[in-house]
Parts: sequence; structure tokens; C-alpha cells
Amino acid sequence: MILKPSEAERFLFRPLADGDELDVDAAWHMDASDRLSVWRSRHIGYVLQHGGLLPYLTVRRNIELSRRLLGLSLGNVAEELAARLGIEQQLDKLPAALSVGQRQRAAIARALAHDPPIVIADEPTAAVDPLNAQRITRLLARLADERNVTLIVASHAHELVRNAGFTLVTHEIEHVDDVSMSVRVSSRAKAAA
Amino acid sequence: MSRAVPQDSIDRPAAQGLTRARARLVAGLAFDDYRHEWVLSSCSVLALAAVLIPLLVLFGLRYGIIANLLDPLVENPRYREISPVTSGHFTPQWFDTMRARGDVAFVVPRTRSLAATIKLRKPDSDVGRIVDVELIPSAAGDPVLGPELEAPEGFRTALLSWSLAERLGASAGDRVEGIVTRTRSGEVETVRLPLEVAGVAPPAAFARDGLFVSGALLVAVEDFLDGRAVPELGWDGSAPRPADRAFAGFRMYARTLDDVATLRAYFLDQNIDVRTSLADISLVQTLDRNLGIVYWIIAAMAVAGYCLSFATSVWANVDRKRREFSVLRLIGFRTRDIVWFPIVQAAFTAAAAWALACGAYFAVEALLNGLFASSIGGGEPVCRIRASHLALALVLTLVAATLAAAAGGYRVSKLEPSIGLR
Repeated sequence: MILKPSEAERFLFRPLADGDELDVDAAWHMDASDRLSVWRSRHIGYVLQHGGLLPYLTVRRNIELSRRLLGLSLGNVAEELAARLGIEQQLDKLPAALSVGQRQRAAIARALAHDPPIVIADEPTAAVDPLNAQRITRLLARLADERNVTLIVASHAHELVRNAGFTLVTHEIEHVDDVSMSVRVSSRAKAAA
Repeated sequence: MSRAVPQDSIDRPAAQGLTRARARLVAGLAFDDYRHEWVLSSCSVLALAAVLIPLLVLFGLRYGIIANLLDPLVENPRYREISPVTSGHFTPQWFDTMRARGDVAFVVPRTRSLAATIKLRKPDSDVGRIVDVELIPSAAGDPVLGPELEAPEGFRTALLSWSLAERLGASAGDRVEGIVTRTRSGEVETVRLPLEVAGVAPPAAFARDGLFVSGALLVAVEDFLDGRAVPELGWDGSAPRPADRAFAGFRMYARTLDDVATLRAYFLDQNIDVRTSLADISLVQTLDRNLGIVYWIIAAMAVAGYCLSFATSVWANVDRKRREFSVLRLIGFRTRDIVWFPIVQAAFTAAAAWALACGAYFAVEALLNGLFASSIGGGEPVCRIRASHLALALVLTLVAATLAAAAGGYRVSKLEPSIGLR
């Protein structure tokens, strides 16, 4: 986890706890424990710099993985997200058969598939060209709005994320030189805060 | 800062209710990964099969050779027979005690050797031959008669040994006549004993001319020869012996070959000298034990070497895939879920390698048995294995492979979810 205690936590965690508050320090120490894994599986979606797709699963099964883990019905969530992200033709392919941009879109679909309140994206556009980076960032922001998701993005592309409506919170990050942490808070989180 | 972790949000149900589905999901992911990396998986299977095939062939050879030596001993009850060297004094209570022992399969009283011989002829035979035969006490469960033949009962039925049947030209259903002669008060007395042949014992049951009779008939003959009356058969003489009489000997068979040594030790302890086939049995058992030791040393070395090699391979594989494992952890798989990943894959490898090794074993077995068919007497296969041995091999292979893969499981358990973010 890259999160640390900060003021931002009131935006991030209050909505999750339904009025209760999360002991972030305790959660930090529980990282090795399985309980936090279960917590992550429900509340957080991840988009990793390298996509983080499992190479032995098709795009469809990668997208559905979080829902399978939680025992949620699969429905046509994968098809819907893939269609929104423009990768519906790639659903039954393995990640190796996709371009970097398509892999990132698939990763976004996987991060959103189980409807988490928070998505953490680590350099989601670092591996794609500027034009694709802009498209992916905007798409991510739009999907987050539609699905009422708070986005936390770590990125070097300050302008890109700022233009997509993110709030920079770089002062909260330690041990990192030029990476900005940007937050785009969902309306649900704002209301709860 | 607030301190309460929302417990119900963390431990919710899902953690418990979904355990089975989660296990299936992990097994499915492990299989998908295993299939995706089919080249590496095939190499693992071949590597394990390469260890298993020679072990199965060696075991088959050892088992085949020992079985060829041991089978005759096991199948022929003669090797389990225990007989007293000299006459003794064995009471009915002694027989009851011996029958109650778990290592005794069969025991009946035996009279003195001299009092257990009669003359026998087949009355309607043209030959008219009279043969001296040895009376052998028998009863239900007699090992040498086997399950097909019924033991003689009462005073009117008997079974002939193979050689006796040939000599008299008699078979089951024929009638024979026993002739018993004694000298009492200077006079020779002869009684005739009509008997129906209830069956002919197999050749291995008794090599000489013998007549399997009931204990009652044996006792009657001894009593008659001793000058006593046998009221049941209308034979005159002095007062009959009491019912709780003692016997000079016994016919006894151990339950298993291993029990022969136990019983022999028991009799030696009782100062009763007995005759057994322990020397023959010990020879084969010693050979079996020594070959077994050699085999298991070879097997242990091979398996230990394989386990070490497999464990390092799994460890390296987990290291290679650490980012994938950390992604699984990041998504929400628990440590206790993904530690099974390499173990499940090891089980796939073990099962596939075992199947491959079985196929190869049977090919080698056919080759070896074909090669040595002419030099092995009796047409017995020199290399053979039982289904239970193969099942045991599967279990041992699964255990060894999964134990070795536990190293990989341990490595997985140490992977941080944050690796996926780096």
C-alpha cells in the first residue's frame, strides 16, 4: 500500500466504513494479514503501470476475476466495460495479444468491474503515447464519474491528470521525488465527507 | 485519529462463505497458468517421470522375483505346517488354547504314528491291491484340502491322497474298505471299515499314500489297536478311553508364513521340538528384506534428489512470477489462498508424471517379461506390479511433489502485494 495517514483519508475511507472510521495505522500494519486482502478486494480497484493483467487469463476472465473472487454474479459486466473502453473485440484474447494501450484499458475494466468505491492507478499512462494517455485518462475519469468512484492516481503527467479534473495532493507523498498523487473524489465520498 | 477498523467490513462473510468457491478459483487459476506455460509444465512432468519410471521398473523386478519365490510358499500350505518331532502329551485344553491363537490357522489332534496306519483296498477292483496307508486327521478348514473339498465326517467317509487314489484306481463316490488288525490275548482280530471316498486331495496336499479321516475315526482306530472297545463301530475290547484323553501329536498350520517363526519360537519355549519349513521361508524372506532395503535406499536417494531439484525449481518459478502473485494479492487473494498455487501445480505435475510413468512402466514390463520368458520356469513374469502398488506410488508421488512445492508456497507467502505497484 502506498497510502499513509493523512487528511485525505477522510475523503477516502469514510464512505467505506458507513460511519465508522478506519484505523489507517492499524491497517498499515495489517498489510501482511489476510483480513486486509479481503478488505482490498471489496473496496479498491487497481490499475498498475504495467497493466497487471494475468498473462494466462483472457481479457474477459481478467476483468471478471475480482467479481469471481467476491462471488458476485458475472452478468455482462465484462462486455459492458469492454465496450465502454473500446476493447470488446479483445475480450477472448490473452493479454500478450493486446497492444499496451489495450492492456491498460483492460486493466481499467478489471479495476472497475467489482464496483469498488476507490480505484488506485499507478502511472496508468506511463507506457502509452501522449495521445493515448490523454484518451485513457479522460476515459478513466469519465468512467469513475459514471460509477461514482474516487480515483487516486500516481503520475508524472501532472498536467494530464489536472486537466482531467484531479486534485493534486503531492505534499502527502513521502520518499517520492517527482511523482504526484492526484485525487478525483467521487460525489458519494464528497457527500459523506 | 480514529482507531476502529470496520471488522464486519473486513471479515464479512465472504471470507467464510466463499471459501470453497475461492479454493476452486485458485485451483482453476493454477491450472490456467499451468496450461499456459505448457512447455515448462511438460518439462516438469518429464523430469518427474524420468525419476519414477526406473523406480517403478526396479520395484516391478523386485516384486516379480520375490513373488516368484514366495508364491509357491504362500500357495502351498505345506510350508506353514508345524509338526512335532516326538510324541507328546497334548490335552483337549491344550488344543483349545492353540485354536484360540491368532497365528494358528488349523490344528487337530493326531494319534501315535504306529496307531494311525491301516490297510486299504477297493473291494470291487480287479486288481485287488491292498495298500498300507497313513491316516491323516482332518476337519473343516483343513488348509491342504482347500475350499473345494469337504472334510471327512464321522466314521464312513474319507478322502484319498492323490497317489493313493491313483494306486487304488479310486475316485470320489467309490467305496473302499479299511482293514485294521490287532493281536489281543494272543489272538489276531481284524475289523473291516467300509468307507465312501468323499474326494481326492490335490497332489500338493500329501505326497504319500494317505487317507484323510475324521478325528473320531482316527481315535477309533487307535483305540481298537490298543485293545479297547469302540462301541460306535461295534468293535469289542477293553473299556473305552475317557473323553478327555490326551494325544501324542497334532496336525497344525500357521495362519501365515510369518507366523511359522512365531509358533516355532513358542514351541521351543515350551520344550516341544517341532519340524517346520522355516529355513526355506527365512531364505526367501531374507532375500525379500535385503532387496527391499536396497530398493528403498535407491528410491529414497532418487526421491530426495528430485524433491530438492523440484523445490528449487518451484522456488525459482515463484520468483519469476512474483509480480503475478503480488497482483493476485493486490486484487484481494489472501496469502492462504495463493500459497496453494504452486502446490496445486505440483499436484498436476505429480499426477501427470505418474500417469506417464505407469504407461512407460507397462511397456518396459512387457519388454522384460518377453526377454526373460524363456529363462524363467513356470511362465511366471519376472517383472510385475499390483494395482495397489501403483496407487501407493501415486500417493507417494503426490506427497513428495507437494512437500517439495511447499517451498514455493512459503516463498509465495512472503511476497508483498506492493510488488505489483513497483
